[in-house]
Amino acid sequence: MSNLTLTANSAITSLPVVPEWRRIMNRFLGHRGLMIGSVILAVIILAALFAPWLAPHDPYVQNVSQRMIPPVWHDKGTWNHILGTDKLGRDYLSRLLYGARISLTIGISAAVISGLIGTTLGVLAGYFGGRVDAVISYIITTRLALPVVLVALAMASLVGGSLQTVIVLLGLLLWDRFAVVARSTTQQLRDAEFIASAKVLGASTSYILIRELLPNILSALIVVMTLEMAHAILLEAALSFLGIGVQPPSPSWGLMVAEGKSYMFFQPWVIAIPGVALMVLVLAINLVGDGLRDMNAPEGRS
Amino acid sequence: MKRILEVKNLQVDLPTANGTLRAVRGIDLHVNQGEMLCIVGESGCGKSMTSMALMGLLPKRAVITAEAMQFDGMDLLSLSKKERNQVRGMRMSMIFQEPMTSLNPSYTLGNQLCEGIIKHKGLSREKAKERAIYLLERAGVPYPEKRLNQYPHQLSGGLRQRVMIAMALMCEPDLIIADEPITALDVTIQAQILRLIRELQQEFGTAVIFITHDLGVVARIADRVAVMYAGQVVETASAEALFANPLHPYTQGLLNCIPIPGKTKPGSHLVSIPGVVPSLIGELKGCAFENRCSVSTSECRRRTPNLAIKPSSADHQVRCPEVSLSFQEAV
Repeated sequence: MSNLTLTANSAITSLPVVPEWRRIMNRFLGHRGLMIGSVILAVIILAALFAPWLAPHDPYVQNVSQRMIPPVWHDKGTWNHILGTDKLGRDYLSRLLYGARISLTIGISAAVISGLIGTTLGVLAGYFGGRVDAVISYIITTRLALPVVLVALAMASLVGGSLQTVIVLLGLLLWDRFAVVARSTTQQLRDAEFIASAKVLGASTSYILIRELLPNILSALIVVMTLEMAHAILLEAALSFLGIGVQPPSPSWGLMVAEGKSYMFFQPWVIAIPGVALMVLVLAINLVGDGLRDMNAPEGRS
Repeated sequence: MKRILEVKNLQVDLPTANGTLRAVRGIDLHVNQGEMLCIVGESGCGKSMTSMALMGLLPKRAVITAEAMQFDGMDLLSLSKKERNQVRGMRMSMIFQEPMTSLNPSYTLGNQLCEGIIKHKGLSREKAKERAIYLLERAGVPYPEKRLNQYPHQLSGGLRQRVMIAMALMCEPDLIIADEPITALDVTIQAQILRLIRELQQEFGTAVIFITHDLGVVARIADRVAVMYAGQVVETASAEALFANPLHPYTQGLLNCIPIPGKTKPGSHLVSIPGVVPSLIGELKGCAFENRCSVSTSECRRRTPNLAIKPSSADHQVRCPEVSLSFQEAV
């Protein structure tokens, strides 16, 4: 018995010595998917940031005598154009690097805009309930009934496609998941006693929503944000492929696929390279999203 | 003795699809300075509704009416929302039932403990921290300095409830409402927390309204008791008077339900009060306890009883037609 109390005591004295950042680091390093995802994502982000220095050629300069050079691993490839050139003789690697900028810009901006819209609507609906909830749920349902690609197509052809148009359109179209997640998590927390306790302390509604509630639903929203980023990137590629997204000569990955599609039976790498780049980026973002979700799950904390 | 809280004829009505649910039907309460008032009753008798009405936590659709709701001479009902928030934030505080959700999981304990006092009393962060450490220590939390940087999920339920008690005391309130603060804890911790609340209440001279359904708890800590049934106070008395001489059949029934070691035979059935609480929607005719009462007469169904004062002691009041008849005979 005395032994028991002794060990119990020593356990208490050696209690909270692991600092917070260390624990987060350990959890991060322990999750393989998250590690792989964030390394790939970091490489792509760095490549996009430093594209002007990394790119061997100007992505816009055409050289018809150098057109359709295959990548370096091909028999006819040269080290001058590592990933070859397209039908106008533009360096494919340089276009790929600059294209990452477009994909990331659209992914992040669209996710931020839709995140702001969706979170605001969702939190208000979840917290106030009743009529507010009925109206906002109706808006969410209406939004869910709209086919995103169709609406985006129609709007983009009305306004004219450009980077800004795509960002605003996707931002206005992709907020539904934020709203649904924010609404349900807010509903779960609305009646929690720490909210009541803040009310007892005389906190205003805006204080309760922003300071007490939001930090607790943020982790769920960050996960949604990564998924929506991937979603936005794919939609941008689709819109650009259809010719109403980012306009040529911008090196959007979707546009590169579109421009190469007539060559795909003879030079499959023309569409394979941007296609693989898109896939890797979306995969990396989704791995990060899943990893963050696992890290935030209570079972993942130890 | 100074009265810190005086409530007269408090009513809480909740509109529902089936009609108005009259959760609290005109209760009178008062709490003296530094006193422990226990409100006892079974689920749905309106005891939590009463505390939420006092703290202003009821949903907007709830209709609260009262002849008076005075806190230290101020009428809570006529104060502006801002003034009421000031009074509630600084001079009244609350301990909740569920320690697992009563702390915000996103902030450190230090942050949450100090928030209120910095906001309401303009204390510096350093001073607030000092007070938090002092109170955590008084509340029996080991390593209080370290706890300030910890998050709620790092603490057990019992520890969290101790933190909640410390938090309730931060602003030196005159009144703490504790709504079943030990129900969610295991029995050994319950005893410790109960003792702690009683000790701190006496040490700091804070008045406490302690809401519980457990008469055993009441017996250990109460100065005065109010027994509630179907949204009304059916009996109120000092703790000694109530346990020595329970007058209302419901109180007697509740006391009979408690098994006593030695007296209650092993294997025998535990006593219970037959029947269920009447529906609280709409008016009740006659005595609310009539259908479960062992001494009810046909008269009880017709006459709605008022709180009658026991002739020999003004503090002891009962709402029972039969008992008030006996009072009249005695006089």
